Parts: sequence; C-alpha cells; structure tokens
Amino acid sequence: MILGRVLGEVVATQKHRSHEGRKILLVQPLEPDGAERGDAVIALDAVDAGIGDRVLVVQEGYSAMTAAGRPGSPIDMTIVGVVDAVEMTEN
Amino acid sequence: MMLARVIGNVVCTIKDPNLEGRKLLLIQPLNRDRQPKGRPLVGIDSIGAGFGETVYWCRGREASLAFTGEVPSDCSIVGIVDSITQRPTPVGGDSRAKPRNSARTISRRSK
Repeated sequence: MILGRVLGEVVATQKHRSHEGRKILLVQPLEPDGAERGDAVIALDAVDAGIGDRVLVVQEGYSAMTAAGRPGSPIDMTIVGVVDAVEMTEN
Repeated sequence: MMLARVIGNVVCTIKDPNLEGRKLLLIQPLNRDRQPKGRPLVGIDSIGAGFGETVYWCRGREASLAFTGEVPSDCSIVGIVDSITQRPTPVGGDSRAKPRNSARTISRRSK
C-alpha cells in the first residue's frame, strides 16, 4: 500500500458499471515525510475520504476490488484508509 | 487507474479472437494538471470513449475484467472524465493548509 493525498474528485458519467456508486478520487502518491512522489493516480474510495485528506491506497487488483466491494471488476486502486499520523524514527 | 487522453485509433485485422469487436484506442497518459506524461499506449475501450476525450484507465490483470470473456488486456479504458473538482495550487505553498471551501471545478472535456 502507499500513502497519498486526495487532490480532487473525478466526475465521470460514462464509466464501467462496477464503478457506479463509489467516489472516484484523484490521488497524489506521497513519501512518508509528505513529499510528492510520481504521478497522480485515480482510485475508488472505500472509506469516504475527501479533498485534502492523506490516505492509504491499495494498489493490487484483488485487494482493491474486494475493498471497493466489487469483486471481479476492473479496479486496480482503492482508498482503504484515512491516515491520521505517520510516526517515523530517526536513523 | 490513471488519467489519459485518447489520441488515436488502432486497427488490427489479425488479432486474438477475443479482441474481435473491441475498439483499440491510442491513449496518452496525463499528469494531475492534465498535461501529457510518459509514453502513449494502446488500450481497449469498454465504455464508448472517442478521440480527444479525457478518460481513466485500469492496468494489469484487472483490466481484462472490464469485459465478459477472456479478453487479453492489460490496459482498459473504464471511464470518461467529465470534470475534476480540485483545489487551486497555492503559489509556493502546501495545499493542505487551504480550507475545504476553496475547491473549484475544472472542466476539461474536449470534443
């Protein structure tokens, strides 16, 4: 799983049937310290996250579709948690 | 899933039987600002997308689950993006400090 920040909400009228009824969010992957990493991705929301929230995103198909409650669907990323805090030890 | 723009069609006469009747589209992946990023790739359309539209696509083994039957796809177009509601990016600042009500809607649907 990766950390990310929700940048925006995607509106899509025409979409795969399995994506109906779920929020579709634009998510920027983050490093543990909050720095941005790589390109923004699209993820379905399973935990009612919103714009600005730091979230936990699962990137593996089976877990993603199961978490979204849509097994056997074309879903490769799902938000499965809203992060309150990341604690790191100094090495 | 990732954002992309449809930039062309691909025509294949000889192909896997499970690909017959499927629309193959050339797509250019986009970044968060809807600017081209990375290399174009070929995706199979599952929702009736067309040239110039902003779409989002699914990668990997899950991509073939957009269709009935054993369609060999690792990139399927699963949604047409109408608009994205996004916060404005503050100049030299961190977007997390902005209040929620400053969200705006950017519509980038090009026909």
